[in-house]
Amino acid sequence: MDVKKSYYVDGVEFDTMDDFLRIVKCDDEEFPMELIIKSFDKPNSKYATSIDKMKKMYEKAKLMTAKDALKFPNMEQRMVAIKYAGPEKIVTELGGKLISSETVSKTHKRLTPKKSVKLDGVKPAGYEVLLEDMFDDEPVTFDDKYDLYKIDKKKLETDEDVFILHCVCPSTGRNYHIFIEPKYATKAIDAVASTLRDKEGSPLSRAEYLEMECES
Amino acid sequence: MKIYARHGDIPVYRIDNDSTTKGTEVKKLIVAEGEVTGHHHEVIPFKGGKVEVLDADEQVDKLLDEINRDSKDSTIVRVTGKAGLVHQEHGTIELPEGTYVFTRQIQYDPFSKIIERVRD
Repeated sequence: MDVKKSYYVDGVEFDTMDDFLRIVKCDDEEFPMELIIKSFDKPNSKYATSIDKMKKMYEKAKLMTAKDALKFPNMEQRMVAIKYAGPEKIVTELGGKLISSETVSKTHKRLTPKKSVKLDGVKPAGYEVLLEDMFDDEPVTFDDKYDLYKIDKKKLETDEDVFILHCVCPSTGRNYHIFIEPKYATKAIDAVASTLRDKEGSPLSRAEYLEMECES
Repeated sequence: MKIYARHGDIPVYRIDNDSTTKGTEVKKLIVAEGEVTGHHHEVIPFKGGKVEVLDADEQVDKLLDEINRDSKDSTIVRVTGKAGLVHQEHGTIELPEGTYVFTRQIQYDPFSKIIERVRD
């Protein structure tokens, strides 16, 4: 008897193991390789896939791209695949239109550990209390830059345009892309302020966001 | 309520609070932990300072109501003296004496149209 295998991500069925792996591999925090491989290793089932075979398939699978995600015939599949491909690929591969770019020069207080301090990353390591002479507390000046992109709903076949904010962490220098609710996608600073909400979902105002004393 | 700082995906609000609210002193306090990285945002007192987690009671509920925050995703901490907010990747931020609420940044899923907290 032929057995049809199905693969599910977020409750949506995908036809092939490769499609499944290309998607889950995009989020290795939610789906670490070990978890994926182990979930197919069922020693008592003749339909299971061995650990070695799974590992090879996982390593061979290419990360899902935004362009490939749009090739799925089913809308639900497209939505799941493009979600996991992620906002950065959506902007770069599908040509996001820059609708607002704002840069704010900031001078914030930050405590920088002195060279003599034992560290875990940039964090003082193993100290029960902090001491004044562990840090330099010279103010740090940096440019806080936010770019807001719009992806036309026709490109994504969604029922509304999708907005993505690009920002850079002021202390690690890492790039982040975050989806923004359309009603707050007007100016880049308003967009980042909208990611900080109260329990009823009201965002910070632009002025409140800009009044912040420290960012790191 | 005033937003005092953002430490990665953790917004930090400073609130007005009298010193009578009951709290439990802790040596140090992890206010948010990375789900995969094991990295964490941690409050550590400076020498001579004190860090307390405010006990969940009516007074704290009232404080949270005043600032429109939910106790499920908030940690309220009182700092006496001075403390530092530290993390393995984000630079250290000073927390002067006062009461602080630590919450989480949110993100929007344009496909399901759901608001969810940012996963670190």
